[in-house]
Amino acid sequence: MRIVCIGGGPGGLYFSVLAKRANPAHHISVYERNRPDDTFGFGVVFSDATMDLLVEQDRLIYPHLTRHAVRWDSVAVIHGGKTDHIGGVGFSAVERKQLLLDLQRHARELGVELLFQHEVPDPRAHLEADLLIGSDGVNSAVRRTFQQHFGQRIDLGSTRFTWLGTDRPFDRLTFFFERNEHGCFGAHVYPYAPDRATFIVETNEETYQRAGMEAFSEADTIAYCERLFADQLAGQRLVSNRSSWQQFRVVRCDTWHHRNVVLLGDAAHTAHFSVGSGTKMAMEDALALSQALERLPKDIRRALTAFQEERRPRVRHIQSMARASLDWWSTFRHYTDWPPARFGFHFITRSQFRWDTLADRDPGYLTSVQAAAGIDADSRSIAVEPAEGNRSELARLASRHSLALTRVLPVSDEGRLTIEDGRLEDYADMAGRLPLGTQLSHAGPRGACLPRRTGLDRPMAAADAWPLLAASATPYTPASAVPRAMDRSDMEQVRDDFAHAARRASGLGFRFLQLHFGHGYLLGTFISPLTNRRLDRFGGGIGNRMRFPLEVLGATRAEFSGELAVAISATDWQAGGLTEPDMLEAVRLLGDHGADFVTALGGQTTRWSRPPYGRCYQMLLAGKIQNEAGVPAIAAGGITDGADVRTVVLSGRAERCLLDSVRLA
Amino acid sequence: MRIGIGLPTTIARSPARLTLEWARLADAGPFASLAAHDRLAYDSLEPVTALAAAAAVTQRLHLASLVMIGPLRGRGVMLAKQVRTLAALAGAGRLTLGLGLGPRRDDYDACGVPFERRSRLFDEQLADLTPLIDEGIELLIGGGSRAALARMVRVADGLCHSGGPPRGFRAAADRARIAWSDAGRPGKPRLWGLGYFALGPDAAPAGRQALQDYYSFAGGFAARIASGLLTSADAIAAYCAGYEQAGCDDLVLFPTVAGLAQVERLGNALQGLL
Repeated sequence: MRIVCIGGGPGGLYFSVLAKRANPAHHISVYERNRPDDTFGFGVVFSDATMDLLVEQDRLIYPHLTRHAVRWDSVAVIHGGKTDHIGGVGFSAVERKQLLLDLQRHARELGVELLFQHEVPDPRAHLEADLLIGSDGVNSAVRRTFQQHFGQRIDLGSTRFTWLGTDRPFDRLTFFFERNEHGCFGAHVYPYAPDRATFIVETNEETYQRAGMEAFSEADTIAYCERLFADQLAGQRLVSNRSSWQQFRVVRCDTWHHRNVVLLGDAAHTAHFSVGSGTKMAMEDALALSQALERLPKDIRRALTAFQEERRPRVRHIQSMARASLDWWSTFRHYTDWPPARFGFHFITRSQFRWDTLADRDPGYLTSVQAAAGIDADSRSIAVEPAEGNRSELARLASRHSLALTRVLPVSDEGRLTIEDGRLEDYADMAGRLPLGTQLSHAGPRGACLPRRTGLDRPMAAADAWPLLAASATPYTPASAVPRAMDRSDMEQVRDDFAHAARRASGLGFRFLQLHFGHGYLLGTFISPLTNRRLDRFGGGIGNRMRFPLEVLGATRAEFSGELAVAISATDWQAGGLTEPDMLEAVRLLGDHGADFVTALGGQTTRWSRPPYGRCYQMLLAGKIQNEAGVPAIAAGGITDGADVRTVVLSGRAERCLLDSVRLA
Repeated sequence: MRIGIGLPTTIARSPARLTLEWARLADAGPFASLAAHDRLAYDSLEPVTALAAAAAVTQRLHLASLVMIGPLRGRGVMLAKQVRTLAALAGAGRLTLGLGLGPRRDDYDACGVPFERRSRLFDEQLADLTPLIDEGIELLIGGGSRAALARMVRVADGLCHSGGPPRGFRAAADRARIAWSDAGRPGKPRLWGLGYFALGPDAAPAGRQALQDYYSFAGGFAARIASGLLTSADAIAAYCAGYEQAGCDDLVLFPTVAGLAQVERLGNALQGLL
């Protein structure tokens, strides 16, 4: 087979070595525009998990490549003059240049044709090869040439960063956070040899602008960063290597292959370096691609499909973790005046780690987080009555938690979800006696359904159903009845129903009230742009879409004396849904109109929402509500035990947590 | 947790008539259920038909498709008819219908159903199948993706996981329970798990080879799936314990070697557990 690789970075070289070794009859050429010993960047980091994967599947070459690796198993977070060490996080690193030279040597020994200082102006010139591999990095010419087939999407990250190096010895992965007159900065320091480390400095756009970095030369950048991190550098210098201030480019493609052309590594996908190194992903791609070709040597297109099917779920997982981490780096200015322990815990829980996963790695660290916080996280959980209604279970929950909520109750008969919905008065004998709150809703377009034992949104027989309301006349499912778009008199009726129900709840002695404005229920249909298609002053921009929900909140607030929360679907978990700036604006408006808390629910606004269910899967939304919009948040979604509550509350993302009604194994 | 046995209907070159003897023997064994996989472009038997035959020769065993590839079967009306027929022939409450998309493009190509439209076709089909749930037929969605979980909470009784070590099942089961709670469904989802076994002298290499062959579409995963083959009573005991701890309701162990001795051996291995 004749194989042409465009781009001689670690991914392209590693693939050629593996493929040539598996089948010496392959003729493989690697085109690289730089010289063999030109290299950009400093070290390459592999997590223990990656090492395991590559070691298991490549027993010949990979161990050799990592023979000089340095290894460490903890992370240091240095902020506000205090250092936190988090153990049990294992990484290895090698020098990028050494890795490339080793790969080049292996390739040469096996008979791979290496063509350095070879630009390939038009990759189509190599289409006659049996397989054309675009391993040419984030700015891939191969991807650009066939972009209509790959369906590329490139998003610019909202941070600015620069890659530097330092000779100061570091013994572990270290993060520094510093402030100066321009703003705040973080440094990611990855040692890759006993006395050398990659030193990435990252900041937000505003700080970058204030510092005037746009006009910086490399020398200016070095001088600025050396001054900024003088204490941590302890007299050592920073070194540059084509170190400009960049925005991270997140590359995604609908597909990674087209006919006999395939993308590999950064050319196909990138993920912010704080989560996974691009080199690591490129090498995993190389391994998977070479294995697929070995298995299906006679059918390249099937091999390319198999390669993508194998790699894409893993890459997507890393990209989703990286998205959360990149978001943290672009918003950490909100947290730099926090106490160091909370700051560090917030940082460490920004993407994949939670209390329960850290408990296996470094229980001592968690003890220090708990001690520094000085709050009893367990008192911050709110239990909820089972969905089918169970008063004795609710009483039991109320005895074990500082607050328990009834299931969602309708404000009126027209607002019922099913004929089995409860009523406020069902709890008359308990509400004043136990620490109870309640939840009020109007089901809107999801009303008049069968009980949820056998599925969601199954409409009742038309003869038994009642008329439905919504912001716009869109049925929730194709089988659902079409709701009426609310007119002004409907709005007044619903507003009064909420106010009346709040007065009854107050009178019964409930001490807490949550208004349910999410999940595609009536008020939620106003907030989401997916369900509000109105052309009047209740539709359009977020200010208009919030107009009726705020009117209901105002009327309810006037009638309820206890604490009041408003639950919203803070994301639709669907393309085209509520944007983050709109969500934050909605939260600010709710706070201004008397909500003591905003609860971060998500999805269910249409039947197409696809939430990424998992532990604490919506806690980052709660964090935005609390820290970016400035309204105390209640977190919800996949919070099932005390460890989850501690993750959320001790990281400062929410004041309280709604517990799921399930127990996990 | 209940433990069942798979039919040998997706082991290549397994004689079709073995299915009947296998079912009879399983019905007399310590198993709770009898289940069939589904593949089109493979040397295998079609699951509705195979389960109907199994229903005819068994009295007791619960019958399950784990999982049937829905979109290969067109709109749901005909499939609903077939499933109702099967459920009626088997007798009340004996059928679990696991439905999924299946990851294999060749199955779709083989019957001309566009692979790219499989999700939409599946949703349309499910709309025709949901009434089955009211007729006492348990409905499961196969897989563990976001879309699978969303479908599960909307229309099904639970989830059928695609197999593998208990750790992976536990993670999927947790997601399923969270999805269930988030959707406000009462109770908890029914959770089914899978495993593969080959017991007896010389069975292990043949079993691994069968898995490599069956999962050849899955690339590097095929080797991993094959390496998870359960080849001893101890391995089966550990696997069952892991699934039980993870909250599995029904675990089905599928054969990888065709031969009635496999039914006997699995029965013996489970005797110690039950």
